[in-house]
Amino acid sequence: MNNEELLKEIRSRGYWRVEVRSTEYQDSRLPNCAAMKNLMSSATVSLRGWPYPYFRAEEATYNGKWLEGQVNWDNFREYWRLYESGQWLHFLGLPGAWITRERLFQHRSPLPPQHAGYLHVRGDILYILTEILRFAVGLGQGGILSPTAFLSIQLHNTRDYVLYESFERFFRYDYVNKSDRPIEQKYTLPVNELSAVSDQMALDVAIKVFSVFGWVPVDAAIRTLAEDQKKLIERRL
Amino acid sequence: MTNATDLQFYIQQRKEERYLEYKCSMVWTSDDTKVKIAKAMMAMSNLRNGGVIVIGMKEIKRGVWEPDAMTDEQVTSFTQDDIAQWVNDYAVPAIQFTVEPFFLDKNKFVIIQVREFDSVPTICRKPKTLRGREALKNGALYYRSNLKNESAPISSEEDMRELIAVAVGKGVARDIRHLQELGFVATFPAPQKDDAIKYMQEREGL
Repeated sequence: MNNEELLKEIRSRGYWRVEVRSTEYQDSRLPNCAAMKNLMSSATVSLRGWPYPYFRAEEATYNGKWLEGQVNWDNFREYWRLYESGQWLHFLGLPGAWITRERLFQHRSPLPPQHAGYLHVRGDILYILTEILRFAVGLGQGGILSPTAFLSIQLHNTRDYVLYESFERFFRYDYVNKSDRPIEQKYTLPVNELSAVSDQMALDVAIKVFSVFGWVPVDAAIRTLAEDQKKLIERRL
Repeated sequence: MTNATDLQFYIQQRKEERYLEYKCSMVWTSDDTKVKIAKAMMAMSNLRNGGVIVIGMKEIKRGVWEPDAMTDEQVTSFTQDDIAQWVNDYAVPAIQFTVEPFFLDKNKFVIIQVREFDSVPTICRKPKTLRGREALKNGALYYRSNLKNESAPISSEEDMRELIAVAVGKGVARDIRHLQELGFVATFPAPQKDDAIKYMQEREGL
């Protein structure tokens, strides 16, 4: 499947769209393929086995304007571009959009209700957001976001998707997105502040996503989520 | 004050967290209880954002807890004044906390919410011996380790570094606030210039 077809497939179901860049356009912050690959190698985040983003230097291709990469394996679908300007663009399919309910919840009986897709509160939202923001920090440390970073994180096509908490434990109520509208959070901030606030930003965006699904976590739940996020960051999961 | 939904969450969580410690049903007047609670409170006060102790839970299997049967006498034995008097006789600086009874599904609990220390970490300032054993250690910094949900004297360099970072952060924040009040430090808004259109053209519609 070529990149165009994969992108079309990703966008046909629930997916994240991530845009990270400087607010000031410069056309050659990353002047060549080697500089792009070096940055990708240093910025890629690996906290739980599967890297964010999926990057293999030997598989990424460069067309003179941007470096691009993809993966299409099992229920994982990604497509990304890193432009010479330093603009980062990522389309990340939601695994819970591509896996059957029977396979996802194979050890559970009865199965949870049928929905268009399933989003794990931690793995598919909080943890991925933490990885996205930490990757952005890596881009910033690579010098391509200065002086001010812009981040846009969007979640698309999740109408009738449901949150689930773990394979064993379900929410008492179904937290289902009833809206077609993409969920978006934008940030503009000095790049040197990014590393100090990225984890909190990830938690804030996660809470915003939860609220669109109808779950407004109480303070104690937020604290537990923050603890779990810390475990992820410290690779103690 | 924390709302009832939060308190409910602490109980329904059913597993301990770093900031959440469960204790089985007990009465405050016992020396064992006082030592256990004091140790937990000192540890929680040294944790970023403090912590919560729920009394009235029992461990049914390793790591899994459920409500215990707590009697009215046990619940009412825990009062703010008694706990403050005893615990703050050992803890310095004094720990800020709230204690309240809580009822959920016919079960009774006591919930102690401990605030993070204000400026310097909480230290145990004198020993307490229980059945010939030193149950509270003079000079100990009690902590909830990153590695194990247990209130114990700090023993790893990682935990010590973490605690120092919290304390130093508070000091720095205090100094910055002070300098801002004096007008020496200003905060500048982020530059507003955004070449969004150029980036959009570069993406060619993506």
